[in-house]
Amino acid sequence: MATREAGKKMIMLKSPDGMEFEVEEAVAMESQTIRKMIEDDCADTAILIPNINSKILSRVIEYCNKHVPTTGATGAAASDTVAPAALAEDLKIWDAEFIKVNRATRFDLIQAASYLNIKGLLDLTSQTTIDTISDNSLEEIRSFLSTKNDYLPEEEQTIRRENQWAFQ
Amino acid sequence: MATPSPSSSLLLEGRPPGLWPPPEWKKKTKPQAVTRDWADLPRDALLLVLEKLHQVDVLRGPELVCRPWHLAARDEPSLWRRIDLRLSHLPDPSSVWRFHEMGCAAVRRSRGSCEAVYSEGAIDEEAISLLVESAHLLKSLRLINCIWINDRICYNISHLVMLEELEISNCGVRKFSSTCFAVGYSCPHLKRFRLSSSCFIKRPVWGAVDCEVEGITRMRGLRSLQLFAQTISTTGLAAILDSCVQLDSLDIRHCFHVEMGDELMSRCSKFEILRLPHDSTDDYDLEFSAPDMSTESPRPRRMRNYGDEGGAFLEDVY
Repeated sequence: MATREAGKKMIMLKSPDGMEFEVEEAVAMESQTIRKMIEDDCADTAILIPNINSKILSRVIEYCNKHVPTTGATGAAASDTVAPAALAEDLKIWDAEFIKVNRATRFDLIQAASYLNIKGLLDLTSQTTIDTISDNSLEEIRSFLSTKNDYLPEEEQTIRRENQWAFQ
Repeated sequence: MATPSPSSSLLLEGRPPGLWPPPEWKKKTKPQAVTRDWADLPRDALLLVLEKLHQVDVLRGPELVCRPWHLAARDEPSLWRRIDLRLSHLPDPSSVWRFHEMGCAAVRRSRGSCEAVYSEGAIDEEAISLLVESAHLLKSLRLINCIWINDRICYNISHLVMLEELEISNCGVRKFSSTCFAVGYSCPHLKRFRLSSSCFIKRPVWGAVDCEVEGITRMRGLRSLQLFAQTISTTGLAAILDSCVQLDSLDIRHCFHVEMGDELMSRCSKFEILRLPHDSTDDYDLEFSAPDMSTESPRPRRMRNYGDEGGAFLEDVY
């Protein structure tokens, strides 16, 4: 089972590229997927997180560390003397900084948040994406998403016919 | 269909969602360096992104970006379980005239699993006829500024037997007597009903006061009733109070035919929320104009016949 350190239960998370991260159980349980594993007693010595490389996993852990509800235990700024409103404001600023990453990293973060089922991180990453998608033209969205137009010409015709409201 | 090359037949017929994207495309779109092709976003994550967008936005842009996004937006009824289409979400007012097509598309995509509709302008008669597929689930139908509908929706609306909430607001200068009647008979669970006009007209348009009262008196389970700028009379209101004994919220602002006598006042005093004809409209949520209190009809009117099912309607000639 997981080790204990200073009265806190620790969990080992492993990324597929071999890196290991020791985190508090409470932090790891920000992820509903990991929570389920722990509650079902599937978490033996270490939990392997497939599909998420160490760079992204470390960022996800950084996020969970910041957002774990315990007061003052982790993170320098999360002092228990700070009023809740100020704390929320502080978290908001921290989130805004946290999400200032390139699109590829954001893509990986969405994927990781979706797999690990971390609601706050999902909200943050997808909202940032949406802010970019709305109010942009199709070509702008495509270039932002680095997506090619993968329709066949005749297929595009059909879609244009079905979605005429978007092409006037 | 003749058998085209294997890849194009797959493209035309679509693949089950689990197989997206097919391996042969993946090779082609393999990202270089640190870019990511967002077409590769897993369907679950993609749906979470799409759910966050306004539905108007989903219909206008992201779903046309690439095939996986299009299929997710088109073939995922859960995205359309609660339809919410608002004019204010349209970035370009010139596309308003196609808005009802978006409404129909949204209803089609829900594939019979629609539970609630909030529509500012996007729902027309065709969309309502498509909603019948969701009849066993649809609980809330709110139609605001849906100028394409008229009282003929009564035929389809009578199928929506699970309705708990119905709103018809600012949908043109029309009467909805048959609709009220159909709903009164067919929707036993109805708890909230709202019928609002944008302007009270004192003179009898269509020569009738209390058109909708008979229908409303059939809505026996009603808890909340809002009639704004409607031509109901004092006796009409009394009849409604006689029948709808479970009412605890009544709003009849701008219904200037109603005169609140002592008896009516005492009957209404038990309501939690009570708004009377002359009460303030400061907190009224929709657009409305000052009441037209003239008693003579300055506008010429003509009969228009809508054929067998529609009957004859009087229309103002502007």
